[in-house]
Amino acid sequence: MSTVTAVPPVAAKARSKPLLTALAGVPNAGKTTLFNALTGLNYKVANYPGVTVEKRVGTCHLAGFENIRLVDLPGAYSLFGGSPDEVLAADHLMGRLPKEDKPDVVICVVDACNIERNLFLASQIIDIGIPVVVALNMLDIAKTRGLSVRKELLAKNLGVAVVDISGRTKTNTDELLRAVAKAGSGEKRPGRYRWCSDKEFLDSAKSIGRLSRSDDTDDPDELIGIGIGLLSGSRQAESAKQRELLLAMRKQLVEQGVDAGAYETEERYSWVNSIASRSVVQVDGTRKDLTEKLDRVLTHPVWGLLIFLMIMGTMFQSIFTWASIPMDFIDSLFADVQVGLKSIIPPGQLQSLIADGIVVGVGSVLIFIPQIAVLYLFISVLEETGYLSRAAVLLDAFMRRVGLQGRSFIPLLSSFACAIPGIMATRSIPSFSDRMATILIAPLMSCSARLPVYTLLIAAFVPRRTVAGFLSLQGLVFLGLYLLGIVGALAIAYLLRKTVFRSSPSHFLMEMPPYRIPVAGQVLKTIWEKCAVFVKNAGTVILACSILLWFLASYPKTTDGSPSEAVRQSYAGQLGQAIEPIIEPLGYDWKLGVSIIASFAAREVFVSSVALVNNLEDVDEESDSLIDAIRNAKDPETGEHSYDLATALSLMVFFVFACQCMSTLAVCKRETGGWKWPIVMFVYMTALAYGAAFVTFRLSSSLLT
Amino acid sequence: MNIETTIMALLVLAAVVYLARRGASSIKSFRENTNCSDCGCTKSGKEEG
Ligand SMILES: Nc1nc2c(ncn2[C@@H]2O[C@H](COP(=O)(O)OP(=O)(O)O)[C@@H](O)[C@H]2O)c(=O)[nH]1
Ligand SMILES: [Mg+2]
Repeated sequence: MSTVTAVPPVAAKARSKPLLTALAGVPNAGKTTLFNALTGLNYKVANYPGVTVEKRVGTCHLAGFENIRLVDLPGAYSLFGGSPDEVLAADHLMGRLPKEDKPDVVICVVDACNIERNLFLASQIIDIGIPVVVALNMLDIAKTRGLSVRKELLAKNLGVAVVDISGRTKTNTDELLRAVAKAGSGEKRPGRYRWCSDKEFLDSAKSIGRLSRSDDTDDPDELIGIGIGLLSGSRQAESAKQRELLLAMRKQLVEQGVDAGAYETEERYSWVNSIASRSVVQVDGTRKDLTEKLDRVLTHPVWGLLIFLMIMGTMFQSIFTWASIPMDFIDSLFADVQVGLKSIIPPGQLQSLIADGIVVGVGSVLIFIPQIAVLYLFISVLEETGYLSRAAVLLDAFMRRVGLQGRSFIPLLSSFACAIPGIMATRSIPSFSDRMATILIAPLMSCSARLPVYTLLIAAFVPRRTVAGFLSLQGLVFLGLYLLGIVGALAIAYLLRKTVFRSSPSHFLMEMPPYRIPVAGQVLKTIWEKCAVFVKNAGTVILACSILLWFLASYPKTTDGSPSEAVRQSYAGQLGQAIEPIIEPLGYDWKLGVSIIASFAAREVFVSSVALVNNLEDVDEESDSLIDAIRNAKDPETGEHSYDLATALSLMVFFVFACQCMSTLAVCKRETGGWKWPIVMFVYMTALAYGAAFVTFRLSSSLLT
Repeated sequence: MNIETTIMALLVLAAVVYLARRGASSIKSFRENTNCSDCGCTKSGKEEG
């Protein structure tokens, strides 16, 4: 079949089609940071490995390079690794994914401080035969450690373009993209198999590879690749003749004193090490010992734990103390708005809908913006400094005792923001039973949607007192709720391990990222975005729910009776009273029942709903702040306060454990491939929530009176 | 029916339609194996939390 086929030049192809460019590299090399810088998108970046578990696509937004389409891949240490995210990255690079093209160019992001391990992967990628551009990252850190990087030497040895960049400060991205465009134009292909100086070896690999018919290629480099794959065992022989040749070659290697299976890896390592040691050199005194000293304290079983608790304690204290002033301000602002609107709009349905429905419903959620901001200030600073990996090491021992491994830490940690990315992050856990156990307990971590519920109930019912001189009681209760979720999760994990998922936790070595000073811009951006999402939610779902709830709590209109009687007879009232028998043992009245149902739309709606229904009940009373309105809610029959500390504690415990998030169940179904596990999740969490709330209510009402 | 009732009814209707459509679109995005649309964490491939 020696027909002449006209091969279109790559450049021509590139003009009609976008240049597909993959970002590859070891975990934590800075791929996502670079991806965000190039695309203007905004994916999560954090100073620990395993954050990106799916590939993400975006178009370059820098002028002149709109033709470049970028794919951010999960990190991988090797193209032949085992965890699902590593396999995904390798499959994409080798064009093994169905319906997807092989990338035209690969940007290999290399962390200059970890050059050996990074170059190992880079050299594997170069061997695939796709044009490669090496992006040297983290040069700022290399500099502070006294490392000097010889870029030209590196480029010459690897045979590919090397560009020093910083995704963080967006330096040199233009030069990088120019190199990508040039590599994509197909002018120069990188030399493959540079690690192998043994021509004879390559020749025999080629002749063995030629016997594989399945790939149908004549390209000598491809054939060598097939031969090496056969030799290292990542490919199977296709014919008896090939097997025979393979055996002969193995034997020959063994005679030379070389292990055939490991030949490639060993040669590659020694080649990479020799390049690495020449191109990155220590020029002045190392500051590495500072990291070591810090690590020794921070991961110390006693001191480390103490510091960890102190950091967590400070975080929860600050959420209350720092946020209380802006919060009170926003709270009184909304109360004023409500009064103002009532004086503008003539009394009637519309006034009630706007002032008692929308303003109360949306406002009662918006007053928590300061808390959200403080929470994310802490989270993003902790993430960026690299402290969290130390915390993972610290907690590894505990997690191991309940049968979880350190790899579960990052999914569980992400779940404090939201269980959905948390559950998706479990894809970096190779073992099935480890992964399932982690998925099932991830929603027990208190996510940020629970925050307004906690803060509202605490602000309303826990006295503003200090204990032990300086700790605020409110902050302590808050910390307690988070800890309760963690303890609950560990207990469930232990049970799961003893029953359903019996297997010993697999080995895990957490890579310690270097300490980094967080960039103020990055931190502020995270805070801004989180608050923006929160506000957007308030303006959409919560607004819609408030309108609907107002309607349900105002109709059908009764002509006689007090406002509270009218609410009681409304649709919402009827619904609430129907479920009252079920929730009465927990200390809740029908209004809380309605609000719990409403909170299935979004947890924050609980707060809107409580504020809204109670507000409708006593429209006659002078309007206080939203929090006061809840605190002072009275039972219309007895005239006593409807809610006390025991009710509040029981409610908070309910929210710690209850599974009230449809999206979590849906993502659980998607990740586990069926309805079985989401149903298990919902049932066990609901039962746990009910039981724990019951116990809390009984205990606290008898202890507190 | 007076204007006030009409406005109110329209607002309530809009809220119901909005919530229903949102529910439907999040079911759809799960079917298509894209990301969730509820918590804002991965909304339209722009953010993750
Ligand atoms: N100092 C410094 N830090 C960086 C640079 N690029 C990325 N980082 C940080 O390195 C960490 C890991 O980055 P990320 O993009 O998530 O890495 P990925 O796992 O390869 O996607 C984050 O804390 C980033 O802020 C850089 O050029 N200099
Ligand atoms: Mg990443």
